[in-house]
Amino acid sequence: MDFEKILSGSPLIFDGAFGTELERRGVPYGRIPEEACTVCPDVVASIHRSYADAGSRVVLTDTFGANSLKLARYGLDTGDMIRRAVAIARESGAEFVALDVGPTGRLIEPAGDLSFDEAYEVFKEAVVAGESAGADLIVIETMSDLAEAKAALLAAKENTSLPVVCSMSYDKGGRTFTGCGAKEAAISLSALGADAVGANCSTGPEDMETIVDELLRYSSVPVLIKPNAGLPDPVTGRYSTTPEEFCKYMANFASLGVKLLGGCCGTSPEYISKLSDAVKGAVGVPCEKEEELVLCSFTKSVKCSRPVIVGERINPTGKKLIKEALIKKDYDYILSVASAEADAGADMLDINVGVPGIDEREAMVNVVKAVQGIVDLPIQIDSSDPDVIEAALRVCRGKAVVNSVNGSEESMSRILPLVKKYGAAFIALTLDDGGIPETAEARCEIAGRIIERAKSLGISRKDIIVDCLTLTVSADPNAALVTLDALRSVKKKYGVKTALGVSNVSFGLPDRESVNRTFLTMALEAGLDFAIIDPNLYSMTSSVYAHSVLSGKDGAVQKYIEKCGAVRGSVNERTDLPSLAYCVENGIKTEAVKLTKSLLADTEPLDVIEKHLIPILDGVGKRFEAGTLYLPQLITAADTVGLCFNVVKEKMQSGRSAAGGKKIILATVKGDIHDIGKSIVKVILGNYGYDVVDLGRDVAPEIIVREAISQDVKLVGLSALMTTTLGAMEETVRLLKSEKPDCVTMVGGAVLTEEYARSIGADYYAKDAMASVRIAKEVFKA
Amino acid sequence: MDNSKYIDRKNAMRYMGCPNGIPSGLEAAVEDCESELCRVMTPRYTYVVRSYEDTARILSGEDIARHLSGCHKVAVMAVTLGASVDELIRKYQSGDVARAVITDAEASAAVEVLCDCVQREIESASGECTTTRFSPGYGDYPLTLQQDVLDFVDAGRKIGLFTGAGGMMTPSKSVTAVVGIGNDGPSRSAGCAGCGMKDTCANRKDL
Repeated sequence: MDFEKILSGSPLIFDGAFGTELERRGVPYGRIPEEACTVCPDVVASIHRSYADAGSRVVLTDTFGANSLKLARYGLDTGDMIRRAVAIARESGAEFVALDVGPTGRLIEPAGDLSFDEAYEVFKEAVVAGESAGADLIVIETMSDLAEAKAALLAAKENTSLPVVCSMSYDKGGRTFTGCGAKEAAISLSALGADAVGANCSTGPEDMETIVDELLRYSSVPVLIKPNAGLPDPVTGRYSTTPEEFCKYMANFASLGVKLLGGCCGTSPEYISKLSDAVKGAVGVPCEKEEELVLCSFTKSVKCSRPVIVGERINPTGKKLIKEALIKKDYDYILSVASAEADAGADMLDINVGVPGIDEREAMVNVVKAVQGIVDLPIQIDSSDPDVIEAALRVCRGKAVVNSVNGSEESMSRILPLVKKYGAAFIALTLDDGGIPETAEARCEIAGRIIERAKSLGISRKDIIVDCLTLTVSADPNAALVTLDALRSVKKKYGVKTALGVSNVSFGLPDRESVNRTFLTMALEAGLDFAIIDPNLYSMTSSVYAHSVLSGKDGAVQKYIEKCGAVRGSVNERTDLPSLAYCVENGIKTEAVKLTKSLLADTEPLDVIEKHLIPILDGVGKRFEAGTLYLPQLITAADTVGLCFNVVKEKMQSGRSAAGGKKIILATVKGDIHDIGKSIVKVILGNYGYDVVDLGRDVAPEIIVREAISQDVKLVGLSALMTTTLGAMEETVRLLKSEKPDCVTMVGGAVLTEEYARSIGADYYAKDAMASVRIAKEVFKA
Repeated sequence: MDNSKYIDRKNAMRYMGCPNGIPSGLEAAVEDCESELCRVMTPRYTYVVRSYEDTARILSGEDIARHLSGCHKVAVMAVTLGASVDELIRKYQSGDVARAVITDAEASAAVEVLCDCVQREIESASGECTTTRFSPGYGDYPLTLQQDVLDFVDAGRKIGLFTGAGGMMTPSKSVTAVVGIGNDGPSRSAGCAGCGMKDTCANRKDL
């Protein structure tokens, strides 16, 4: 079907509810509505027909839940169900048949345990079957998770040639159940190539006005609105909005520019008939579109009309703990860095995981997913490898920035098509095969070349961010001036956004912060839009806010007051510092870190651990076991010691480890996604000096075994919360025993007992975190 | 929205193994965690009321039959605090585990308060008394029926509540429960006697 042509005329009318119509026609309460296609195809056909008669040009097939994850539970075949459903809809006489694609019924990680790739395969099976059965278009609807909507959309775009409508379900506040906003969905899904985006189900049209506004303003494609007939009464099941009221709102939406209209739960052919009359010939006014670059995560968007702070800390270059975390595949430390950057005021986060010898693609995907699981900022994917970039773009929720493309033919020809396909923005580095040009003119020329190429691929100019490259001023006194000159020319000549990594300028100089801050201010004045900096440095972030005030970009100075309003004068230095033990026991973190630093001035790092930190923690542990101190206090103390440990580790020479090879793997078993107990054990063991590798939650037995072998680990701790996942624990223990017989296992978790632990062949049962310390001591004593 | 009505600090402390209230030095942390939790949670619920026969296909075992005996109707409910609570706990787990533990316990207590609210609504709508809540996993009512219970109330579509492959609910701070309506006697309790964890549970009431 020629979707664009059809939408150039009158609004396109879709059908109304299917499930509630089935019930209304007295179809007995079956197992699932999709089964109606085999049990009572004539009723299904009559519903489609009555919608077609009422004016629906498009009817949706009875395939909302027709995916292998749902159907397998009932012994039904996806392809077969879809073929039947399309054929029945085709017979109804409706002009167009849309394959209806609903959610899988499982949440995608990190909120749930379904991987993006699994979801993609499930959707792929459905859409391929739909196209071969003869559907005219695909309607992905009632989505709640942007990652799932994305998996479905990519599956449809990559495996069929049908037009794809992608609609999500929002509550009154304009957010889906997972927190995705209408604005963020509109930006992300239209950038990803949906032919229309929309909102359906959940509320009546009376609660959709803001959602409609946002979808129209932020999407670059037509909009579908398919609301419920209000809300159902929990006892009678009756819906609250009459057909007349429903149509009044819908006619207004059509006049605002909504091109695809229909109904969801509670609507009937009567609603559609009245809707069809109400919007006949309606010509929407062209609505106002957002012209500015807006980046987003799935819950938050950042409009780039004033300088954006990009957190640069997630980068292993020169950062030992990040490097170590990436090698060990234990991402908690990286997450704590991400969360600190967000708290300090970063607008978005750059993620770079390039460590020689590791699988960069796997690490990037894992870190992007994990960071998006706890921080709501847009992401900047920092890599030069197209495979890594594409893998990250697939799983990243929202509109991301690709950092970076350069002027070399290889970079442009391999990375720009990815930028286009996934609708990202990108950073264009002004260098090429010949290196970094010394003059501003030559850098500007490279920028022009990349911009031209991007344009030829259909990438919007507003998605281009040029980085004129900061060089070290101690190596060349003119370095900063050339960069700023280039920045000004690029801005003037091409009118695109600009970015700079700032910190490089001061390399090799004393008091780098002063140099960085001053350079940042100069760059902002030259037109810098994206400041890639360490947001934890208040002098840097406050310069950005202050510059916005002084250059009239901060309206009523709101942002400045919000960010810099709190008095940040120097905190009175205490002269009577309490003891390290006191600080640890009471969780006084900054003081504990300070004391550790002063200890390190005249004590060997290992001695700080063995003679100071461990004895303090032992004391806390004993009091916990005696019942005079409680779990949260134990953990607070351990968290505090953890920070002290990081200070010590930074000081230690590389290659030397406090743990002396005492490596322990911890994981929550497959199917189990609740891992707070494991976190407690991790923090305690870590602070007793063990080198803990946390593989995370929902970890398959083979992955645990693979890591135990490759990292040569002597002790593996497994946790399970639910009776239903104990099988996975047993399987993991069994596999470990056969593949790595010298490895000792300890297990714990709410439903475990000593007896059960023994019955599945585990070596130890750990009742709580302190018990795991005793076990570890015993295992490593040998 | 004011979610502070869902906070039950006393119960949360009990879950955390602190029966005497907030341990010293943690007052500020507990208050912070409570206010963050209230800020991010999105309490949602749904329930349906059906005849005992209509709900039979999602019920299994002798314990639930005993629990519902004498009831002429059954309410099946599902509640959740939403995915952002899991997100908050995950965030704390990466750097501030004490807060993760406190928030986890507070959220577990809050979801029980939410259940109480829903149950009161069921009682006032039906004008009859109800039994206590009985959930998959209690006694011999198998956890493997969780998905069927969720499907029965259309929990995915109505409140965004699903299960994972392991049968665990996502978002995790969620409850499904069955409540009998119209039993004549005083509110009937599932108690600890029928619980599979009765031998090891620290919160067991005297049998």
